[in-house]
Amino acid sequence: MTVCVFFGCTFIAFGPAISLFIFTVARDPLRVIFLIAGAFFWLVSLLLSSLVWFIAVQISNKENASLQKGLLIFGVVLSVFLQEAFRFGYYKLLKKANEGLMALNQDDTMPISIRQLAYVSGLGFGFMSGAFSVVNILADSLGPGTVGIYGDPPHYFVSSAFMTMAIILLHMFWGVVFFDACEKKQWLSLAVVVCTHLLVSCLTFLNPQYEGSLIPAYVIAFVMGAWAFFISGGSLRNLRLCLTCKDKDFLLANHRPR
Amino acid sequence: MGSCIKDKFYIFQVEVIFSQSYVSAKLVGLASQPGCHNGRTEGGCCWDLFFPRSHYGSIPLMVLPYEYPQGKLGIFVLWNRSVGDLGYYQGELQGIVIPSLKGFHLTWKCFQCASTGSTPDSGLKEARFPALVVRVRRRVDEIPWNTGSMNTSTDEEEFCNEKTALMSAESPSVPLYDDGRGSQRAKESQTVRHRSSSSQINNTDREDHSSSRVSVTDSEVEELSLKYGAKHVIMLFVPVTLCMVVVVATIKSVSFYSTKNGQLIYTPFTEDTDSVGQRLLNSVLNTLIMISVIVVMTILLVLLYKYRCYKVCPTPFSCAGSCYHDQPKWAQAQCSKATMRLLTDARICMCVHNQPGTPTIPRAKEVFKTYNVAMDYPTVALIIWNFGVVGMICIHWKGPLQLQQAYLIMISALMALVFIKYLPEWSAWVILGAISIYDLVAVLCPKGPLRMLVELAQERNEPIFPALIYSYEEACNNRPEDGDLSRNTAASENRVGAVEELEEERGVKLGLGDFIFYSVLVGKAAATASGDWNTTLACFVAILIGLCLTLLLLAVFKKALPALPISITFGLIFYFSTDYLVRPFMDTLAEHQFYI
Repeated sequence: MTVCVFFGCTFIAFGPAISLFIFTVARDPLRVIFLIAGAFFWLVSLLLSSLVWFIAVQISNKENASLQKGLLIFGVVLSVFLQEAFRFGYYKLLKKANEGLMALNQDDTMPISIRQLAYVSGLGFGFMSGAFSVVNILADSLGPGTVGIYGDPPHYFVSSAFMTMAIILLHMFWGVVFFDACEKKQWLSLAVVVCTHLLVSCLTFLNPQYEGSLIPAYVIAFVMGAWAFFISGGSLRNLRLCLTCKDKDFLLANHRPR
Repeated sequence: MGSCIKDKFYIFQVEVIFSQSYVSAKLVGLASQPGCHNGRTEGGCCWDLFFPRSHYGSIPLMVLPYEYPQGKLGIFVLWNRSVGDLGYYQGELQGIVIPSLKGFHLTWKCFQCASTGSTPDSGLKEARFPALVVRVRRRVDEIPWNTGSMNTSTDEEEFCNEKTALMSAESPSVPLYDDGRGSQRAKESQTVRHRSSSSQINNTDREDHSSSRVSVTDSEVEELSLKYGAKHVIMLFVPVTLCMVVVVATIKSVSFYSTKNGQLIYTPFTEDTDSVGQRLLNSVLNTLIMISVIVVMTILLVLLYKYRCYKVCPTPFSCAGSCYHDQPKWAQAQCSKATMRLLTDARICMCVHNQPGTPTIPRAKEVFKTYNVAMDYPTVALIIWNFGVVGMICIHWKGPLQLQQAYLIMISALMALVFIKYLPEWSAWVILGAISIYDLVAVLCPKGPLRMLVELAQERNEPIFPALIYSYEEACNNRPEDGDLSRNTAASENRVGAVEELEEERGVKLGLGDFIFYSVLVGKAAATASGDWNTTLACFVAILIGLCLTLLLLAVFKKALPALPISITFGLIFYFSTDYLVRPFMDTLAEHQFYI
């Protein structure tokens, strides 16, 4: 509960996302705009799901703890479905906008490709989701207090931070896979995305037992990451060339001699 | 050698290049005979085109400042280098510099050969004079022209002297460039002519070192216009975000602003009433008073502007705004900028002070108190005095652009903080809503005061009071009193950050009042919402999206638009829904550590 915890958890949770933003998105104004629009869509989905949950809670019996927990679980599941629905809606909107742009051009050149849009929108969803999950917790970590004094798990902050990082990366990968599945009309991939999202959220129900939620979340993140990588045209050869700095196209584009 | 001129009839191709920031002309070829090349007609005859005002003999190009009014663009000389003083054409190029090629009009008068000619008015891009063929093209690449030096790569330049003149080269033919048709032009009545070039590419075209495509087609124009549109949006996002961040940071750290300590005289009714109805009524009354003060101030401002009382300078504190984009009037070839309209808002008790420094004194005191910094009066006085004076200079006169922007942001943040502290809760929300509606009405109605202000400013081609608008590029120094200076200075130093844009707008400007009210909304969300950061974030994103949509509408409609309604509406919706609906949900989730 110090500044150290605050900064540590902030960098754990948002480090990868912010560096991705700075290095890949911040230079291009179009990408920034689409990122913010993606964040907005996630926010609207959250709003709708909270509305439904709120109404359900108001009309239910507030004393019954297990009912409340059940309603919460229902809220989580509903929220997952709504998020994916809004992701689909965002995809449709972007396609329409792109079509409009392409109709105006005679040359079929688009200023931003659908893959970039997938990445950026996934990152937008991730940012907003991560921010809403963890910002209040981070603000609390600045103040005085002792975690776990009543028997609650003492690693609350760190585990929240790690979970947030996983969620942000997952949203990004889900965005890429989702858009690609929509482009190629592979509904099975789409279903897999929705199911993994549901799985990750439902695993957090186990939560004071962080092994049950964090480790599978990271495994799923790694798998989704690899899937998104291969979908976007990556391959082991590319990876090897990139890591050993022998990728000529990349070097030329960045004016680095090798 | 004199026979070089008298016996032969040369058609010189002069390319006049229009862009957002300059007009230039160059000699690109001589089409009268095959084997001609830039500047070379035949053995011993090398021609240059230059304007005597530029370096004589060294730079064959003249860069004209964009703000050049109609009239004489310059005297230029077709100079036969080999012959020298004995053989040249001197002529006068007159024209109207306009932002687009819609109404391009150029006349040519040759003193020696008494030939005249002019281009027709309707956007035709070629005119043949007896000795001059003028073709125009629109420069669409991004690199700003570097005045006073050869911008183009000098290694590409043909070195034309006696020796090389003997060599013949292939015939140059400058392709005609497309006018550049963006989607916005569909709204205009002008018919754009698409001229696709079928002639061969001039391979010594010095201009195109930056763009590999010679002919500008629609798609490139469209892509560039989209990129430039997005750039404008980001250019406004950054200061709005900064202002909001400053306000939220101050609110969260200095508790002075969250404590209620009295009210402004503009909101006399208190909200500590017993019943909800009474409280609502009081807040509505407060709003009515505030809005009427604002209306009165706006009308006063418009009247002052109309009757040219520029000396009565409105303070930096007094504006909200919205955005618009004007239809370029080609007859007035000045920079047709997209400026934002103004809405004066109520001044607070600091209204007698005209300086940026004064309201910072009580703020500084609060900040020092919070951080327990020991400070003495002389130091504070010195710092504040300097702060204020530099601010005044920067905003009302000249100063580095970054500093001016920083001051405007600081001032907006301070105003917003004052509003957040002194406006009672419900009144604040009702005022925000009412201001958006007033904004809408005042800008879009034909007799609205702000619309009149904007139209006046456009007619006179002046920027509206620089203290009331935030812009991301150097304000044109077309102040009424130094209009003559602008011609000479504008070309030389004031193109800081002037990215060449495709459409007519110079840049999008946002009124300071917009900054203030956005920050008030976000600051109030930070100060009063119990959901803390979630609500603040939601309002922030909502305001940015509203701004984005407003700028999109601006690009579509190209006229003055209010910047407040959409953003404030989104902000209010998201504030209340996040505070009442999302907050309990997220809090309950965080309690159990569930993630969605």
